Amino acid sequence: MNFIEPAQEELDGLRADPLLWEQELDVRPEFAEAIERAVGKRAGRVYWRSARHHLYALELADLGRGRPSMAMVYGFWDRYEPRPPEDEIDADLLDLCEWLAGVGGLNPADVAKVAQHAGIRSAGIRSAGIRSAGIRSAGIRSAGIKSAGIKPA
Amino acid sequence: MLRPAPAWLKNIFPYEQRSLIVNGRRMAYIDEGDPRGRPVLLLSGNPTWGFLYRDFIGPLARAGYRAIAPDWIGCGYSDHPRVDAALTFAHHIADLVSLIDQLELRGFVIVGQDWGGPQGVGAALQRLDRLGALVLMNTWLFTDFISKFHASPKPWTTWHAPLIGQFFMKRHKVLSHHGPTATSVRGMSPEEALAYHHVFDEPDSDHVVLAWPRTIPMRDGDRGWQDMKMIERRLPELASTPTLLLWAPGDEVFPVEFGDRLKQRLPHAEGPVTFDRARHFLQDDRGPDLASAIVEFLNRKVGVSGRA
Repeated sequence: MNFIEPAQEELDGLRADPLLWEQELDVRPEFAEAIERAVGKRAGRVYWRSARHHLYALELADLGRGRPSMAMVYGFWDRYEPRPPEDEIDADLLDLCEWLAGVGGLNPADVAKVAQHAGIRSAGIRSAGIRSAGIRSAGIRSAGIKSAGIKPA
Repeated sequence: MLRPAPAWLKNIFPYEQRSLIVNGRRMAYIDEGDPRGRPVLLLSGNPTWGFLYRDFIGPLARAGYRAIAPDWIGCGYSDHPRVDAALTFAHHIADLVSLIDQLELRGFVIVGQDWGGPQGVGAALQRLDRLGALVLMNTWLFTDFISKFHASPKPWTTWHAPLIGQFFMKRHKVLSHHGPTATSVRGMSPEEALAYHHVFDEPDSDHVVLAWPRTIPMRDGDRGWQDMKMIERRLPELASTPTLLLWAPGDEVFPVEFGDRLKQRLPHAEGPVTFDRARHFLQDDRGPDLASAIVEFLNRKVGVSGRA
């Protein structure tokens, strides 16, 4: 995962749109702990940018259980403009899910297959911001993105 | 206040929606038949609601029973809280106990499928003195046997993995908008499919659909482990309760081995009586046949009088 630190001036011009809200992240404690190791923090935000240059953040909350317990995924859009096309967001979130699967001990290929079976398609260009080593995709993925602290499967 | 049912639904589900407040939230239910008749609680599971029992309500009422089909909190026409912590196994049991108490049900029958089984039995164990009979269909009441479906990452464990589940179950509604139709053996009309799906049309209205899979007790510490263990431990208390097991062996979620294991735990039960041409939502695939079997069983075992 290539996390970035967006400038405050950029964030000031965007609105944070909650896309996924996980109230029970530690319903699978080992999964929550793996995410903490992958992002390097138990609470707070990490940002990344997708291939379409959409900015996203994963925000973790620590409720005192010794691991992150809640999580929110935000997309950041122009402050007063509508969301980008939903299929673009889907493609980016699907990349996130595959990365999470790799981090959390699931098989990212299973995520891709389940998505395919459900008719959820990426828009053809996959996110540049998140990449788990070992994930194969029919889409175009940018090289050079590494998962911090994650060994290739 | 209950939201009104759309006009198109009344053509295929003509029953009046009633409601009461259970544990601070509004629970919708259908209540048809002779109010003096033995109450038969028709309990659905994930991701369905009282509509699943539409072929049961008429036959039970005509036979003299009082058919009551509540929608679990989070489902159907009941409130859909957006807080996962309000949708635990224990909450669902306590919600049903509240309904049983408020309606002052005596001699009631639990008919449960999927989560309707353990949640219904959990409530019945709290009001054993008022329980008349049990009918269990494609469900489970134990922790020591896991189906291949529930252990499989394609799609089940992927569908409800942390964060990943939010993408599939909420953003794409893979279960709430597709589950019943995708597994129908007989096929559904567009109106029937819509009847199942429309209650989850609003974005983020399907917390329960994701909370339930995570509640399946796969190992100690899981969301539903403690409550299922309680039920498992108390099953001998049902030894004198007339019990019928009805099963769709074509269900990959709860294959017939689950029925056999229930029979081991409840050896006095009749069945499992199997129904082919049906999968997980057997009430939808074989509704009239199942309703006939239940009426015959209840007539023979307990009769229509709820207060006898």
